[in-house]
Amino acid sequence: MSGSVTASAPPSTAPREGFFQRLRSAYFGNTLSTIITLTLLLILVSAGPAVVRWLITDATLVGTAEDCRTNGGACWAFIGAKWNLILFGAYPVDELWRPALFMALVVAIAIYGFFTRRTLGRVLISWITAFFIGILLMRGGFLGLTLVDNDRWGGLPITLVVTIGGLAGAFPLGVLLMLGSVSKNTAINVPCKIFVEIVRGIPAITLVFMTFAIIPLLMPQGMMIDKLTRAAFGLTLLTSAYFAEALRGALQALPKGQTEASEALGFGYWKRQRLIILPQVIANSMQPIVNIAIAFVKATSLLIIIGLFDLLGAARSSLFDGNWQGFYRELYLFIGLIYLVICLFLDAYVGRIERERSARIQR
Amino acid sequence: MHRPTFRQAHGQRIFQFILLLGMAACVYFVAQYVKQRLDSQGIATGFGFLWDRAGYNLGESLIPYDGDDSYGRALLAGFSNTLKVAVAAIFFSLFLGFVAAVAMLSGHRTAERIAKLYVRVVRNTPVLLQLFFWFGIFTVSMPAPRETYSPLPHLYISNRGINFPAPDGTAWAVIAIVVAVLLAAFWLSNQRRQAGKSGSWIFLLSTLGCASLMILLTRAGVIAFEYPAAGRFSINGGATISPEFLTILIGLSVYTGTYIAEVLRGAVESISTGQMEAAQALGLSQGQGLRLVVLPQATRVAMPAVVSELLNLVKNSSLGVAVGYPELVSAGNTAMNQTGQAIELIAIYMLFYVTLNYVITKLSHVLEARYEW
Repeated sequence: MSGSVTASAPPSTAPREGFFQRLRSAYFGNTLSTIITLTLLLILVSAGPAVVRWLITDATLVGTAEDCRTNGGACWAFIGAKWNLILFGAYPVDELWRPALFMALVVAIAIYGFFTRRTLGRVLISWITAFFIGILLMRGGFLGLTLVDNDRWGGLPITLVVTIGGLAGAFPLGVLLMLGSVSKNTAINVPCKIFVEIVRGIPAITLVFMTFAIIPLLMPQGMMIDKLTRAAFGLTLLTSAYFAEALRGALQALPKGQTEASEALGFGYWKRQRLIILPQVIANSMQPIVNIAIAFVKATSLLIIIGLFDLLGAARSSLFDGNWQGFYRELYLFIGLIYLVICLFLDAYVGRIERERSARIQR
Repeated sequence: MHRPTFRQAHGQRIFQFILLLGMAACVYFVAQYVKQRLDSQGIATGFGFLWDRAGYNLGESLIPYDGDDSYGRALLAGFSNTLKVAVAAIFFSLFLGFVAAVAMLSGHRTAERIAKLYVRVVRNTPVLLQLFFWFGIFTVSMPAPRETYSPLPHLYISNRGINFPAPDGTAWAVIAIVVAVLLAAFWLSNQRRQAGKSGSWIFLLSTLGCASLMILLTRAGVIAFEYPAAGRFSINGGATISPEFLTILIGLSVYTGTYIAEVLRGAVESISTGQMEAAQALGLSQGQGLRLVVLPQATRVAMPAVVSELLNLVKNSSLGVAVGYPELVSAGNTAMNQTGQAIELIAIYMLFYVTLNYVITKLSHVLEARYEW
């Protein structure tokens, strides 16, 4: 029988739906949405007032810890009183302009990279420059700047320095690992594969412990690598394995003809990788690369476990002030917001690159 | 024909051989050097320390353990704690992920937005930060033992965790039997339903039977419970769920739930709408189409990604070290501080996690094969 499949929706007979009908179909349209609506209403009624009271009506914006306790709500005054400890850790108070300048530089480069259509290369170079300027500026010891060793650094600058430096180190390492793991030479690909598999299989914290605890055991007498570098090295190793895996996925998706054509054109191995294969592989794996970068930003919080004061560590140390004990919710919401801004920025950034790229390809 | 030169024929292999030889030499010299460095610092090598007395206590342990036991046993206790929290968190995170995925796919605007907000916020903040937040909730924000909150008789919620009546030995045996009976009843009723016969009554009846049996046995005093008693500074007796355990359980479930929600949503969306339309054209209802056509395919698509998220969950349980939950890494770290044998302990961690990864991945492959057609 032909034409037995009828149109799924009958032609609309109701020309105008009132507000309540629309509300009804959106929130009580079927059993599932009725259940959801009722559950949400129940939660709103039972928890809503308390949340509003805590967050707004009873909140203390400025004042002392005593004011906060009498008001009973969120104590934003705590953030106001402790912001320099939360953001900069134990960095000498008189020299706070140095990490602040570094952070301003990072924000400026982020905005520059986001709003200008530069090539990726230039953006990368500016990040690496910012990294070295940041380290020099915070360390000091020249031009009359007092020397501040990195065991006194803390807070957001540490998170930023470790993120930029770690990613800048992990990416080339990841590329090499990827190339190694697809190499036809067994003596190269097996160790690379084993490394990638093991590192991806173990918790990040064990790797940080490893570089933290084992490197000093192996250093020749009298030589020391500081805690921060050791820990950041662990995160770098970790991330390089994830980069390698993401890039390998993109490489396998690349048509084989690309390799064959460049071989036919007489390109040597390194030239072929550099000019033909890697540019395509990297462009095709932008999304996973940025996801790994986001994971790296989040993983910098692990530094607290080995006693370093990254953003989370510095913030947590502000809780130990006897005067201001117990305001952990405000603190964690505040620094959670900072992490959220960084990660969402990275996410938006890759979205922008992808859009520009697809526009370029269509042209 | 041109005969290949020796280099053309064997060059690759010789190169590999030399490389291997070089690497073996490197490993050998590094090992020698490490041994010498460790000796000069007075740090023992080898796994002999595993049989030495540990001398430190763990906050909780699934297997019996105290400070007089060996380091090996401490690690085993930590391992048991890892498994305990991982199994519980896997269930919770699957549940949360499922609920969030349903909310995102429900077409209910508000629920969709809330679920998306949950996923965005939780995925873009460090899990450690979230764990600290939960730890604050379960310790700082909970009442002290002397003003403990008791929603049900014999159930106490305080900053020392949740205390509830502990079943004694006989009770455990009865509970085990009841669980076995219920599982069997479930399986049986499922079998009957698949054969087209009514089967729900079997499950219902056995549930009722087991419940009344439990009540009867408790009343008759055959199975007894040890009840917790609230004191001034602590709550004694009964069974305890520690705040550390709760922190890891809730924190990791909330975190991993977002990843699972996204995987499930992606899987359902990847099954083309054509499948659903075809199902409806064949006369299946929306629910039937979802249950019989879309979900089986979506499950197959989602399985590998869900497994890898669950593996991440197990790995993240090592963050217990930050809130004082004595899982493997946390138990091992104390040993590392005491003995200095970092290399051996990290090798043990690696061995454990890599084995676990391997086993679970293999298991998931077996499961996937069952969905193959």
